[in-house]
Amino acid sequence: MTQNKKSELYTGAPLLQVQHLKTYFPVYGGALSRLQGYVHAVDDVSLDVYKGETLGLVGESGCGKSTLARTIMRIEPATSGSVLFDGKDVLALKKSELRPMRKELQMIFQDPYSSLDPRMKIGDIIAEPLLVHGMSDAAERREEVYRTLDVVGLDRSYAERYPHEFSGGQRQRISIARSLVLRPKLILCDEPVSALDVSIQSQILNLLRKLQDKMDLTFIFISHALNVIRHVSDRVCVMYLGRVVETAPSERIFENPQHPYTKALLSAIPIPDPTVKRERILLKGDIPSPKDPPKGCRFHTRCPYATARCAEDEPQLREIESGHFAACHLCD
Amino acid sequence: MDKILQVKDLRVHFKNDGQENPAVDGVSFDVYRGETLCIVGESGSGKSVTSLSIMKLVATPPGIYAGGEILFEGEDILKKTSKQMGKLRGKEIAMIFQEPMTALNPVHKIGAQISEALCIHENYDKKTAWKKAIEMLSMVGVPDPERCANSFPHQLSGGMRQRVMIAMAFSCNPKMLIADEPTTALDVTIQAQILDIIKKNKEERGMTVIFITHDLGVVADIAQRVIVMYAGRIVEEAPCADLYANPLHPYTKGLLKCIPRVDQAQGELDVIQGQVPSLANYPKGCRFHPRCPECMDICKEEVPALVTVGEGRRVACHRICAQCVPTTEEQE
Repeated sequence: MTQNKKSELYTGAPLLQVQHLKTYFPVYGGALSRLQGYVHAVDDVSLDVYKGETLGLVGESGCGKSTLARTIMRIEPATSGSVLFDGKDVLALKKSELRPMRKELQMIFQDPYSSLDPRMKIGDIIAEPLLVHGMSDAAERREEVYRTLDVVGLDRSYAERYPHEFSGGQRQRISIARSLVLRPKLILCDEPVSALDVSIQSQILNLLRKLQDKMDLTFIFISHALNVIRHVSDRVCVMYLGRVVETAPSERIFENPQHPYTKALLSAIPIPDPTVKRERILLKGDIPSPKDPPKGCRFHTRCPYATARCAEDEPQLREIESGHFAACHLCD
Repeated sequence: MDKILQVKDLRVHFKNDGQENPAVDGVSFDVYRGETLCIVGESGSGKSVTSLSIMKLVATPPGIYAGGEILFEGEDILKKTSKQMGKLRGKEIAMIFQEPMTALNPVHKIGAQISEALCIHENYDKKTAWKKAIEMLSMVGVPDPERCANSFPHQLSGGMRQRVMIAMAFSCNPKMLIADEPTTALDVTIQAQILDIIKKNKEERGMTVIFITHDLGVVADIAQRVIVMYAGRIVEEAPCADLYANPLHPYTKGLLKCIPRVDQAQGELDVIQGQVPSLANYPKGCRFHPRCPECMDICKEEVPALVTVGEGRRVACHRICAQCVPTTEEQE
């Protein structure tokens, strides 16, 4: 994203508004399979996504970042809250109204091996969304598939081949082509490069960036890799145990992190340069279970700076400087 | 310096559809006592097969030890019987695997699994072995070691399981530890904890560590020397600081450049074009030549030899060989 484009970004209404979204999963157990409680996968998350930007969603396993994306897509049912896409509440849509919405809102999944039907030809995989959305003319579909293959940098002849003939990186390009073919406004990318080798990862990251500039796309980019997030994102949202703990423009998060969790996360990333020496913040213990999150600040059990107040009082997201929010008592 | 392990021209093939494919193709390197050696490479580079061969754990069939020797303290591991290997594994050389869930037995308690090795190798009785197991668990930073010893693997988190694996590996005080991607399945904050434990224990015990990873950030953190593998062969070997400051092989250069950095903002990423070749279709000549930006005619025909180019540095590249004086050439 170029600098001059960035300044125009945050004007007007957001393209996607997530408000107080909660997704709980019931847990049944015991001899009678009774309800034992809920996994608080996403717990009161609010965020805005503006047109043309890339919002990076980062956090460790179990923080709810994937569930958040799946709830926005209506793959998982939400417990409460609302998701406004272009002004319409996605969560209130009827089944018949979902389809037109999904034309605008697409998703790329992590594992390019399980997200492509092994018995369909590449051309048919990419054409399927068109068929579903009413493009009945086969020749027209074919033309559209070829055009999309060109865009993602695959040869047109690949349309006649099957997924097993391709490597991970190429499969991910096919997934991207499938998500692009309907010309959506917003694409949710759930760990799109985590399953790929580093030399392939950079090819896909460059492709996504190129597509964004060319097709005026908005991305929500989910990853646990902070280096990847820094590279792709305009704004970053850090999640921990179902909550947003910090959100800020990308350079603010990386240059001046406020929340102790963000600081620890940043310091834990190994840098591929042995001459860079850093003070590493080692966190104690594991992430608590989202079934029974700690009272007060959810991070207080592992936080090196926790005070008595943190164990009692849950901190809310507060604006520290323009556009930079953090949920921590120590940032007041 | 004292060489604890010498791998000489190791060749491991895999039989598939009547065809023998070389997964490791003429790999030679030495490991010095007390050092941490990292083997880096992408998937399919042969780094895991190399490490499994050192433990003689490659499944035969489909694997075939097609040639070479692995001398551990002067004795060839590949010539040992399975009974002799049983005495060596766990006692002299221990190994940690990537996925701790599949490496632990799901139906035995953690304490029993750690004590088993102690009973076999050190002739402990069950009671003292159990006590020692608890001691080992507390040493690797398990918060409640007694309870952990009494739990089953499924009751523990990924980070805890990896700690158990490390406790098990260290229990008989082995001379050498092989760690095959031990932190790949873990979150970054947990990864930092595990790397810390390995580093600390290695120092205290003066152990030799062979660390296999694809993450150049982790390498920069723990390695003293690095071996870079590509498509079953070593392409470069160097002391850690030299490799990052002055990579010689085009593949190493490309790898280092294509990783997004968390500590600095970047524009478009550099990429290595193309894909990692598959086992059955390795290109002729230098296996990196179809992706190499500095490819010459000779690269397409002749396999470059791994030649010494400086203090502790070896590289397999025709372009580098052409520049350096041929007196340093080494025939292996």
